[in-house]
Amino acid sequence: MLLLVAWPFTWASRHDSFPLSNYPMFSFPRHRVEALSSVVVQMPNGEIERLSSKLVSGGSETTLASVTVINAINRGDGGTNELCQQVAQRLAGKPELQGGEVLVVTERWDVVDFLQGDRTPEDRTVHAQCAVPA
Amino acid sequence: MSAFERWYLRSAPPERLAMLRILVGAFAFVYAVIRVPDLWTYSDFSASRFRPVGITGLLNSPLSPTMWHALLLLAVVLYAAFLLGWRYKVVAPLTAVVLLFVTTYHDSFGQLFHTENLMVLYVIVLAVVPAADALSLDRRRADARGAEAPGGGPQYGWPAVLMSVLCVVTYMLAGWAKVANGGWGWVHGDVLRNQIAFDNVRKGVLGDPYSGVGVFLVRHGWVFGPIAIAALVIELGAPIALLGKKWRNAWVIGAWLFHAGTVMVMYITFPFPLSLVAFAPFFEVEQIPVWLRRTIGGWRTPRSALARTGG
Repeated sequence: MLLLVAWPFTWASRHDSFPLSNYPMFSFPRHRVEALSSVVVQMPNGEIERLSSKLVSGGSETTLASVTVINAINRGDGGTNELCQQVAQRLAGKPELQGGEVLVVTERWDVVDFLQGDRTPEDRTVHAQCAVPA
Repeated sequence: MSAFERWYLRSAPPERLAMLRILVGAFAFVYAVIRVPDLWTYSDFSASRFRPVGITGLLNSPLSPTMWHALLLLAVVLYAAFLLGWRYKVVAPLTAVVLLFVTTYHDSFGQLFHTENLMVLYVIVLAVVPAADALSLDRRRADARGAEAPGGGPQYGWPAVLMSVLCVVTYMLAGWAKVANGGWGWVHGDVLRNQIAFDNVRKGVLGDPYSGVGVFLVRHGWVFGPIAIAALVIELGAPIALLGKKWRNAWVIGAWLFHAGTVMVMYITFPFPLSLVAFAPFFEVEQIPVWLRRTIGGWRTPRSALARTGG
């Protein structure tokens, strides 16, 4: 059992599994400007409303929501449209978001500036968009 | 007997493994009860999100909602039976298999969480050793039959040592990953600062709450060098916990503070070590019931003394 648990010492850095793991969390270098994918609602006046992990993925974990968006983008066969529709359905009946459009986006942020209050991304790529249902 | 054998095959009373079963089982039970509402919704996830990992690689598609919900409920019942030491020789291995499957399935939708690994490894060890020979429903039944209670022996000692070593190895793996993936530049603190900033921004971008302490610290880049060094010392230096009581205590306190710090600066919780259950195998946990009896007895004595004197 001990050998099994120590086996991940020999794994490639990007390989991971469960319950055996090489625990790569927080180990890869991050830069000050990083791309982050998410799902937002753009209101008719251009304002961006951010959606919680629960609304994006259906689960409460932030990392799961983030990976859900990234995997949908990487699928490339309509995955972002499917995600857009799924999120839109979760927003049905929210009067404050009526008239808005759901956007699946990748934004590049200066992560230090963001935490100092600068909420303007360096750039934003829209992968899919769909209307918030009435 | 070699020094290694004396260390590894040390004798212990049956209560040591029994207390480890109770602590790990209680954690698994409470954790499952808290997590069930969130895990329940995994049945709503579309099949396109299913990314099997580990033993769920045996599945071609996600479980049906009925199957998943039944498994979650079965898991809670099994964790309770494991905790109580009921029909242990059958229930414990079944509990380990179900726990392994449920936690692996939780990780099979694109994101591997690293908060449950050690709990699963501990339950697997406890499932195949005599951890219900004391403080259990099985023991109570055996007592009623007049069976003799077992004495101590290495069969109650080595599993706890194995669990301690497994804990140490998991921390070393995490430390090794930081050096292997981030390079020794990790100790300068910039990698850690950007990690903490990135993780908090990811929460912010996804509309989730993020850490005010993390925001404050990111303004002061110099603090991350010492924090990064401390994190690596805790992780790569984990074997010192096996050297003796003072080293063990120092390492456990350091590891606990490390996890508490992670909650404060990133809102990332590792409940198993934070509850201290992850570190229980390093200690003579059979003393807990003795201490409890003494403490509760101490509380009761004055009252009974008063009763005897008519007060």
